[in-house]
Amino acid sequence: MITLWARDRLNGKRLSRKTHEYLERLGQEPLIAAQSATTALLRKLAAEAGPHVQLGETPLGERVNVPLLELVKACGLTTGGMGSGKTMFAMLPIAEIVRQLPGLRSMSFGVLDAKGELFERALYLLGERLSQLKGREQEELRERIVVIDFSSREAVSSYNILARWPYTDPDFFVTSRSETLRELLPAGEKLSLRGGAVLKNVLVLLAEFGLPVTYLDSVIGDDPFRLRLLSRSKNPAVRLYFQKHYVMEGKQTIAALRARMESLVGSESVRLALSGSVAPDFKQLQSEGKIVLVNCAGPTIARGVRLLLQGLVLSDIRQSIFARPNNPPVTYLWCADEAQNFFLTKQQQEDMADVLTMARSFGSFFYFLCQNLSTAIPDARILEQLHTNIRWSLTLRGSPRDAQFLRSALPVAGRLEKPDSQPFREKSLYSLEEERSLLLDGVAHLPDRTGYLWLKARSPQAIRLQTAKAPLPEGEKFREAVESLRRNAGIGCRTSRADYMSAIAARDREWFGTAEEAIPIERRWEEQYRLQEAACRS
Amino acid sequence: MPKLKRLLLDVLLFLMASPILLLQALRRGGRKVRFFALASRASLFCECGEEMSLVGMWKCPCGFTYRGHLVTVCPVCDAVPKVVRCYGCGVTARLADP
Repeated sequence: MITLWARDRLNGKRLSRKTHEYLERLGQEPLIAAQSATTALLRKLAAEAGPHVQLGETPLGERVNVPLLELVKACGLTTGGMGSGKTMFAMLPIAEIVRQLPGLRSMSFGVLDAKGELFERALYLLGERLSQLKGREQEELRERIVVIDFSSREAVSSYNILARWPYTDPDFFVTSRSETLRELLPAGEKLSLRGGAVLKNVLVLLAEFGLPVTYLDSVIGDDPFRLRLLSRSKNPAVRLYFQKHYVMEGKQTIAALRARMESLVGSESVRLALSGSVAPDFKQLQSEGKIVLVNCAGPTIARGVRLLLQGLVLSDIRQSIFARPNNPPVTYLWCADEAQNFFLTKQQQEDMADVLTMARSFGSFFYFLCQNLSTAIPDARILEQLHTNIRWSLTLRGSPRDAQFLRSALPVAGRLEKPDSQPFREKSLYSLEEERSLLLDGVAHLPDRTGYLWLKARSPQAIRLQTAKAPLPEGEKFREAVESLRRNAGIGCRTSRADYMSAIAARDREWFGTAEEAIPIERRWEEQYRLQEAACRS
Repeated sequence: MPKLKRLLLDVLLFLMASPILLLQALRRGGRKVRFFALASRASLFCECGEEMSLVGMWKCPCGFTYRGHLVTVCPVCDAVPKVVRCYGCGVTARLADP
């Protein structure tokens, strides 16, 4: 074959080079294709108008700049184990919103925290921003901040859980409240049916006059006070209940109810907050674009109480969302840390399903942070609904089972070689499915602050990234700054303890009369008995 | 003398056949050039528009696997590939004969 001989002499080197290049390209092509799709997406996102959040960097060093609206105007989810960087990541969009304040009026956020970490960091950022601003702008921002801190005793926010939502009817409100309390009241088992009936009627009576739940003990134990309330009540059903049925309730039922309510108000700070006369109107707060920081955690707040408080606030938020007008001017994002607590009861699960499926029309969105969602939501239907309605997610180190929803979006190239103990055997590659399985298993040992960001509406493929760090100090400096902000009643529309106590005392005088009368009758009898007993002995 | 006659006859016949031989040589030469051009190209284009690479890793039906240009004589079975497959549409294209 002289032609081929001549070809090899004349073009052999060129063809050899071309062969090498082609085979090289063939090997890298899937990787390049996958990477170029990511690069194109990142460029597109960065070129979009409006404020952006730098979420981190890809392994190739490309910056992940996502439009803020993409994260705020959508339900999002971040999962990851302890210390994987969930809260730090959640601070990134919050930090960007805070940086734009007070000029940014079309979107706002709220924090519902059962751990205190997200709350403290958001509070710190707001405090920092306040110190950067001056005059009118500072005042404007100060007015936009609303802090509900159940663990604070110095600066108190009133949270009367029996102050009815202005947009609901009384029956629905009380039923909802009594259901939440029955399901989530701390101290062991659920209330019995009889206990539930007592609780509901007491709540109806208190809610009619806007009195706090801390008066429950007086309604049960103080006959003159109860009679005073019943004489003013316009609810015939509740009057009938207390006249006919209540007297037949056993002492054990009453004692069980009392014990549960006592465990709820066992913490002074929680008791103070719940003793208030008013409650925040979340509908108004969202419509006005206020920044609402809710902290349900504290050293003196027991786990059960924390869950109940979170449940109550969540219930209020859910109602407020559906009371908002369609397509409101302010887009609101609720950042919910320890979101597994939002799916504890059947009622909560259904509430969250409603929020996930319909809240978009009302301009409110949820951003869930939790360690493990699949174990928190045993109902596969609700879990599916959650994954369907989530528009973006970040999966940090966690259980591969929990990241199962991400499986089809994991970035694979089909070029991963299978390990082979036989050196003379032809090397083989993992199939795409096998490679996905390996990546999914790899979720269990991802380094800190490394995960997969999936912008579902933008790309079928998740982006591996190392998350950026929020501009927050660490250690003593951070702690001191946060403590001072928490104690400052001038931030967050709160009241100083002294003012708050005097307002409570004034209300108590109105309902109980003098200080002596304010003491429940049983205690007064007991005191009289002790005095007489002491007199007899002496 | 008879030898000379035969030589003259051969020359005469050659001269008479030369146009045909020339045509044959030209045809063969053209084929060789076409084959050379094909064997020197790194790729072809399919009717579907997809590029078909002629360089890479190939396996002869006899089992011999080689790296380089597709159009190579197999050192085992002396075969030369006759077709190349388009991986875009699956159609095979006939290659020029050597």
